[in-house]
Amino acid sequence: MSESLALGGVNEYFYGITFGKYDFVIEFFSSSMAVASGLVQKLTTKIGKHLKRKKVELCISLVFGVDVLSRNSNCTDSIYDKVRAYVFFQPKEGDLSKIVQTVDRISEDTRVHAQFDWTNSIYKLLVISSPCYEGVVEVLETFRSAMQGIYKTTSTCVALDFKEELDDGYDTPSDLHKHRQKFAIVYIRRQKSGKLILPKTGVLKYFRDKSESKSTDAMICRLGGYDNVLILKRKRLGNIIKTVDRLRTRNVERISHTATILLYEW
Amino acid sequence: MSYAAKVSMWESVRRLWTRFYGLAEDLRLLKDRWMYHARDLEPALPRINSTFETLEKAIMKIDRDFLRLFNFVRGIPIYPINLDGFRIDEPAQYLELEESVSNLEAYTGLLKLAFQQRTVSLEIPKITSGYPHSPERTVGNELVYIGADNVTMTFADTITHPSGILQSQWDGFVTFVPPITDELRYGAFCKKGPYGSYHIYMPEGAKYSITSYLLIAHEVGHISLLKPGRNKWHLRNEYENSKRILIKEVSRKIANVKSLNPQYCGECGFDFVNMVEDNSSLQNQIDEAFADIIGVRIGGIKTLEALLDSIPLSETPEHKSLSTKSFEIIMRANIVYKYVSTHHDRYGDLAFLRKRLTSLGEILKRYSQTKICLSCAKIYGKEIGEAILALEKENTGLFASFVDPKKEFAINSEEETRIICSLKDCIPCQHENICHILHCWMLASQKAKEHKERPSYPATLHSLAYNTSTRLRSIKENRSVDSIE
Repeated sequence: MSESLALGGVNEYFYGITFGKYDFVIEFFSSSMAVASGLVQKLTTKIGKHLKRKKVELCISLVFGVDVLSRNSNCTDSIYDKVRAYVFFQPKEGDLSKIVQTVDRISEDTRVHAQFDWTNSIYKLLVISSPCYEGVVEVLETFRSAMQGIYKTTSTCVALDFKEELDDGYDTPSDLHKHRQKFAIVYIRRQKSGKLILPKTGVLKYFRDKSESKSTDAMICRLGGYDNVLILKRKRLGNIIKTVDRLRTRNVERISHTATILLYEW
Repeated sequence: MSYAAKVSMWESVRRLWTRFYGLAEDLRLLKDRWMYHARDLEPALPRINSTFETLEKAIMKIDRDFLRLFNFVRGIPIYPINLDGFRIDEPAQYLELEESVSNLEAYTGLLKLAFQQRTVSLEIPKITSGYPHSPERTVGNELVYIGADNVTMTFADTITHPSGILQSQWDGFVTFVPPITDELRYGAFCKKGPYGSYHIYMPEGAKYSITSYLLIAHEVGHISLLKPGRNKWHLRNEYENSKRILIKEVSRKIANVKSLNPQYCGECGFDFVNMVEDNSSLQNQIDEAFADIIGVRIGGIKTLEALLDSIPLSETPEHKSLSTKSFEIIMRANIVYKYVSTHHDRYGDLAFLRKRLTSLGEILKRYSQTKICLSCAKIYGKEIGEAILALEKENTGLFASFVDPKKEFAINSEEETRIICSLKDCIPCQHENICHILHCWMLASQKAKEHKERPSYPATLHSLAYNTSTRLRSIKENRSVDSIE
């Protein structure tokens, strides 16, 4: 992946694994939207070809963000932070200055990098980056309480740096933030019935369904979009990702896909 | 009509009815979804109650037309034992019905496209649980659509019309459609919707160019020249009378050009006399020129410059000939230039426009298969422009009957400097008049020698989409009151 990005002309970038239904996020900087668009075209073709060989379909979504009015215009340093959150929010009014001021103030107070980006969509983008998840959550909480009544809806995607192999050094708490236990809900969609092989550590609770004990198609027993639910309790975000990865590799035949939701409060 | 022909016609009408039935169902579903999502996505998805009401009326009317033709059982037309009740005697009746259904079908397509384009961002709150369904490469471009809607609303508000153009004619949203032919690749277009409404659409590629929004002024100019009739559209009386006089005057003048004007080259193959004799061509030219003049009066001189910018750059001398549309634009620009140069105190500095027209004239010279040479294009523009000026002199209220003099475009240098500075510094200026923002965007872009000097795209688009100027606020308030009523 890193090779593809470098060959595509992207030098400064963040490549992360995400929680949710999307698997990866790639963030890079470009002075021109036209150039960025061309790079995305190249990357999509390369990654698409790579994944096709593994019989995986590619499904991308793209956001162009422009830094407007912010004092944090030099943000390339922040892409070396391990944890990033992309907060999409729909403001009720078009006054950007208040949002920018709030974001700048929060960033200063918490000493966590947060940047407001303008997009063509009705949703605006806030990018938070920190060495640990606790820092991201702190900014997110402060931002949400400060902006109460100013935005209509919001949605957040958390990503963990994945340039190299995940290890315990990722998502390390700093002097500013206390390390806490993290919880995640993993929704599993089955493609075949049969018993799932669960990871040995980190599983707090597992909700099974009837399809596990029957030899029928999983779809027959399904009420909603997913079949099973798993609650994980781990110390680091990297551990959660590893646990989910282990679950999927051990049950390649049985699991169609998973969606992981990080719990906001604990 | 023979019995066999009548049976065949019955079958055709039944097939048409099936098509219409599906279409009516589609529209009802679309209306429900539109109104439901409008709560969260307004103004990206505007509340267009009156448009849906109009569509329902159109459906009811077509339904009644079908109803009197068939014997129905449980909503399905049954095959008649004798065809006495089937009252289509001529194919023309069928064709009329088919046209109504086709119009409704085309309009439904535009509505569906608008809905799909404007709801792309609904995916965003579902990033943790859903696949992207968007065919757009970016997550959403709603600000572009809101900006275009606001621009149209402001331009339309400038028009004086007995029935109020916003309420009765423009349907309330702008769509960006993939161009089918080269002719539809540039500019803006207006299309007659069902039951006397008008829809403005632009080519997909134009949505990222703020300059192209100025072209909406020309389309609003077209709509202003028409008024709704009972069954079909009629030209506004005052305009119709003016046009009759104008055509007579232009015909008389141009007929003399060949013998009187020494500048007429007589070699370029453009036949003035033929053009005058071909009444529809001249009428069309005058319609377009009038719409241009109204466009300039509501959007400023930059609307004309934007029109000239829409001449495709790919039409280089290698292509040998310019398209007919580009020719028409150059000729029309000469007419409007004659008109505005007389009122230059109102429209400000015309040096840039003059330079642009000359350079386009030079391009014109290079084409071997051109229909008109530069000197003849100038004569053409001068003659029609002068005729319009003479008419305006006689009838001082001519343009006042179309454009509200109080809302006509006017900007002073102080306002210009303020807006340009703000846009260059990347600071949105939502409280400024939309016409002024567009004018300043184009002016600053033209003057910029380096990329750094250009006005900021995000700041400009944001100022258009989230505009809070007193003028737009009052238009929106009036509009929401009308939709409640």
